Amino acid sequence: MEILATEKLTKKYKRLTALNQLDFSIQKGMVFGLLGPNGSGKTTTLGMLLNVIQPTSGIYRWFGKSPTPESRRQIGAILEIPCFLPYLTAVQNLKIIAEIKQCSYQAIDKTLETVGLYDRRNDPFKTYSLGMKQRLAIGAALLSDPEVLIFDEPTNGLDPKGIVEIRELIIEIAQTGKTIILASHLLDEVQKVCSDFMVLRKGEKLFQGRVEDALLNQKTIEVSSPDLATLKNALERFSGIHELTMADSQYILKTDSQVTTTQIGQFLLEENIPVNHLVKKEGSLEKEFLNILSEHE
Amino acid sequence: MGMYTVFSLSICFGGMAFLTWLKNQGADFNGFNPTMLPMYDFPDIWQNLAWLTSLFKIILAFIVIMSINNEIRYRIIRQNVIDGFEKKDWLLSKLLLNGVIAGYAVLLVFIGGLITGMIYGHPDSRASMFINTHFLIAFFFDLFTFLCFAMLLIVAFRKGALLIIGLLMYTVAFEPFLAFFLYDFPRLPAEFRPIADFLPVQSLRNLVPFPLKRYGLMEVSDHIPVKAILIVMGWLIFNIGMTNWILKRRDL
Repeated sequence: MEILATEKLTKKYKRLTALNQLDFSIQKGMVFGLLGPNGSGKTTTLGMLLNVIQPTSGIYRWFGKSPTPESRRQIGAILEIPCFLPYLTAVQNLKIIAEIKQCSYQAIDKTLETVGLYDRRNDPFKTYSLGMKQRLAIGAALLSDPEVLIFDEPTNGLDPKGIVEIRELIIEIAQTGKTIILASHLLDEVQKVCSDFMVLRKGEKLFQGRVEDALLNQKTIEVSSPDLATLKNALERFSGIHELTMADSQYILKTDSQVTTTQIGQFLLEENIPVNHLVKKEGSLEKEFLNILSEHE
Repeated sequence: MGMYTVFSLSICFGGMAFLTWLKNQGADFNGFNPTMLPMYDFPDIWQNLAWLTSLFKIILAFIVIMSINNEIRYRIIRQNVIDGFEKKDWLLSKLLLNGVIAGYAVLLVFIGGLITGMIYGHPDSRASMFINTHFLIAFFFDLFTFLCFAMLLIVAFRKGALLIIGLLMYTVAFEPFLAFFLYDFPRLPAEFRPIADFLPVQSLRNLVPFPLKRYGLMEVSDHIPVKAILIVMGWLIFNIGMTNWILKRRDL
């Protein structure tokens, strides 16, 4: 089921085109990573989808139709920095949000527990640290148990423990079948959590695809031996190796997906070639991201 | 926010009490004893108090300006919209705020009027006390439109502190002067004079005609001019409509 689709979504400021003719769509259940350098248009896109920024042209559809108040209540979001009334407590602020979202107050305590703010729930917002403010913002997004969650840099300001907690929370939520849109610079996190991703730069979409496919593309095996020449000969005879490159006295192999280190190890053993380094390297989204950026220089 | 409300409302009430006090201290104005002024007599009292208290409406506007300025500064409106609050609903909530403030002020005048009227005035009968209370309705209309005007200005300009000073100067000094100029300046061609009736603040003042002239034995209109009602209605629609348009078009 299509959750979100945009058609030629554009935002122009006086001299700057923040977003240019963006077309993309998200299906139900995806954990969608929105990636791009600073200023690429991630927050602008999310802002337009939430009716905070007015598009210059182009349209978007939530749940297959034009946005309505009901459809927007199905979306929980954090955008940039969390904005709450500083002189009110967490509970009071969440009550206001519950009113807006037309959901009951009962979820408030549970939500505060989920984000780890239960103990500080009756303290005014202005006494919170940045991490706590961020947690409250996440709590506010989760409050009405919405179908779609939009997180713009959710781990901003969190300590390592917090980052892990949020990551696990996101994975947990994703497993219940909800759709999540995650804009982040932490590619490591995105890799661990997202199923699909899109790369933006200067308002243009450079790439959209599945994380799995991107990583598969990058899997490499490193092999080294005291006798590099013999190693090279043997490897050239092994079927299933696409590419053989040399770096730092190691050979880096790009192989078919079914080729494993065990098979290579076995083969080299049979050929009596001593091996002192045999490692499978998984792809990293960071590498892929940087590749995509440089391909479009 | 609560403090502002209490503070400015107590000024409102206090203002009225002050006027009451002043009028009853027997202050000497050119040998004419002002306590002789039957200001508190029914049914005149409603028009008198409505007119006088209307002078202080700028204070009520400050509440609206500060409240909305706060919401803009702390980006609460933005957060509300992100959470799913429609801009239209936000506007309705502000209209409700304006209505409640205006209603409260009218209520104060009503109660104050009843009390002071009974103390200082000489009501003929129960019924006669409530003649002319239509001025209170005009007063409400006056306040409500003015608060919507303030709302439009703060949404448009977004700088609360400057706006408060600006609006104060405009309402208390600039427009009255301009109106006086348009109405009374002898060399001005007659076509220009009616413009004064259309000015935002002057049109509100026209709703409750100046009543104190009657004590100079001059004729004072006893009713609310229909023309003023129509003009103020126009301003109200403009204020609310423009606010809506700005909210729709603007990035938060």
